[in-house]
Amino acid sequence: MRLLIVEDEAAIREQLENYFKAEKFVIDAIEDGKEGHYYATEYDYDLAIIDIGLPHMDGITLIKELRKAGKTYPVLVLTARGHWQDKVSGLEAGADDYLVKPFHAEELRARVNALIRRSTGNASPELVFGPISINTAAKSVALEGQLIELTSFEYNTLEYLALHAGEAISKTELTEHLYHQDFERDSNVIEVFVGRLRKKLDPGGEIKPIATVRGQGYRFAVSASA
Amino acid sequence: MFRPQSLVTRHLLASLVLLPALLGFSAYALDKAFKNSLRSAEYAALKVQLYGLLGAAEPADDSLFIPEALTEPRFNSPESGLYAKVTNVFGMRVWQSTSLTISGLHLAADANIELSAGDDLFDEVTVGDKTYFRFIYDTVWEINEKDRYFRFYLFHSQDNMNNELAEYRKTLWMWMGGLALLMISTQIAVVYWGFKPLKELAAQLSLFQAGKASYLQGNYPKEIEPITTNLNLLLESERNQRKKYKNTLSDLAHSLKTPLAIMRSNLNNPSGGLTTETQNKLVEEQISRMTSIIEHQLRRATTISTNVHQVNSNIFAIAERLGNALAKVYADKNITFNNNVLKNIDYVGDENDLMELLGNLIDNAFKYGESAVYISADITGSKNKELNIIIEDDGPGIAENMRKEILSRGARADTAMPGQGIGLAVSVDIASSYNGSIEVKESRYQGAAFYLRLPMKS
Repeated sequence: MRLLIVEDEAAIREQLENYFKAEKFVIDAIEDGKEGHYYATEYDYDLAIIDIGLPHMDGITLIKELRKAGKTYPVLVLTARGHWQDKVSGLEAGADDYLVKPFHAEELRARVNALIRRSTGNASPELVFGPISINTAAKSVALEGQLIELTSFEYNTLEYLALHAGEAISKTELTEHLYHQDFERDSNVIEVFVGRLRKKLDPGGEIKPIATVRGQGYRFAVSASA
Repeated sequence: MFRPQSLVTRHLLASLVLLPALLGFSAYALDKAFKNSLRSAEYAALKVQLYGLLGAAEPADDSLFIPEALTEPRFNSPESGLYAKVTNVFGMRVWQSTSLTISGLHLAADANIELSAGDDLFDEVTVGDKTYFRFIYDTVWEINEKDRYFRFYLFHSQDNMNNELAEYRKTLWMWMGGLALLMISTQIAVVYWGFKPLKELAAQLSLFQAGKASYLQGNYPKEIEPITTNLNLLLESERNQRKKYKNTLSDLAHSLKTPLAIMRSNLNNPSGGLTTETQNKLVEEQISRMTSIIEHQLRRATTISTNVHQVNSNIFAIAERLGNALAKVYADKNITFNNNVLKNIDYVGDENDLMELLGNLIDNAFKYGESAVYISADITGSKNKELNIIIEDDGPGIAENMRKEILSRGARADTAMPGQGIGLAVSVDIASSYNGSIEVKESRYQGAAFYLRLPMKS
């Protein structure tokens, strides 16, 4: 998952960056509104966390601008004062949720998960596709009720494909949303992860959950039962 | 002190420009009117002299005979100022008054002027350094059954009129000067009198600044009174705010002492029979507690009304904004927001306060509601009007014995437990700052109902 963080307080920004990096998110952490505007409108994210009080361009304007630019990814707004006027302004500008500072990292994580899930049209944290069930809250995957061991990169690849089930996802998109920019783009690492996932999810080769779409990428294709 | 930027100086400077202009124009108009009336009088007087001459004239030998000595003595003495001459159709002299000895006036008796019989002409001519009124009258006389044409000239020196005019102007300027002095002195007095309340206000403000007065005293005219009233209101609210900050600060300091003491005792007694995990949990708990104490005090100190920025706030609009925003936040719950507030209900209060007050209550309803949130409002009472707002949900509701507690939970920050919201307590604080109240009851939709009562200003 690729996350944009626009926050001018260095301590909070770095904390968020480290926290979400540890959760294997790809992070762009920006400190001022104008630069944030460039990133927010230039790239596609799975979610943006934007502080209201930013230098050069305030958070409310930034959210309005990115929505005007046609970006539909969920936005979580951070407010320091916690006044309803601020929260409502943020939500009216186009944010999807708010969080009042100071907050617990776990609460932020839960909100982020819920927003990403909701933005992909899933109401429950549990995604069930035939024998495969993915718990996006616990970040665990079970095959016919049995938990299977996945590395965090494998899990993230699977979660991204499952959240966009039925769509063809290119390797470039996967790379952009799952790995840091310094990652070697043309390496065959994606193919390696997909290969491993296929083995772990479908050891018998019966359900073929991840199909290769020629020239386009991959598609997660087990009919969802939830 | 006479400052060029002062209001008094501005007023006086404006008067000094306006007053002479006004008096000058008046004097000019009076002078002009007087001159015109003198001229009209002159015209009438010369006409009377003409009738005298016509009366004295008698036809004789195809011409006119006018006696040497006339009843008007000025015609009889040389250079008396009043002169007359009569000519025939060829411009030849028929008669002239004894007074007419000035040769220039003969030239002014100009035969080239075209007139019809019975018409007259009244104008001025200048001869040498003197100006005369000239009156010409043409007449036809039937003598020996033949029409004879005669022209009568009358000249009157303007010396008399000029003397009269000079006398009039002298009197006029004396009166105008007196009037100007009177007006300027009155103006100065009026300006100083008019600005006296402002001077008093300045004096009161400097007393306040010097700490010798806590509010602005004195009776002020109705134009200034709103300023002093509002200023006093501002000072009062500022004083209250300061008091509130002071109280908040001391509350904050006191309530932070407890969690700090717990953590210190834990630090002093590290083993204490507690496992590291329990110790970490204890520290985490105290940090959460301190965070919520700080959050609570901060919100109390900054949100409660100062009674200064009060405007007409529309309850429907505020509820609509909050409901739409919260529907987004609680999108997963798919809650229907029913805004049944009539669109014409306004409340005079700080919009931020109302937003905070309703925000916490509506948020609470979204949090606990199952599928729907309802808000309705009405105004009761005729003399002491009250705004009643009901916010309901269809959630599990609140047990009767918990209803009072839930409103005061977190109000005393040092008793707050981690994870407890302080929103409702903040709402109660705001409502009471408007002399209102909040009550929890059972909803018509089986969940909780919050009854908010706010007295309205008459």
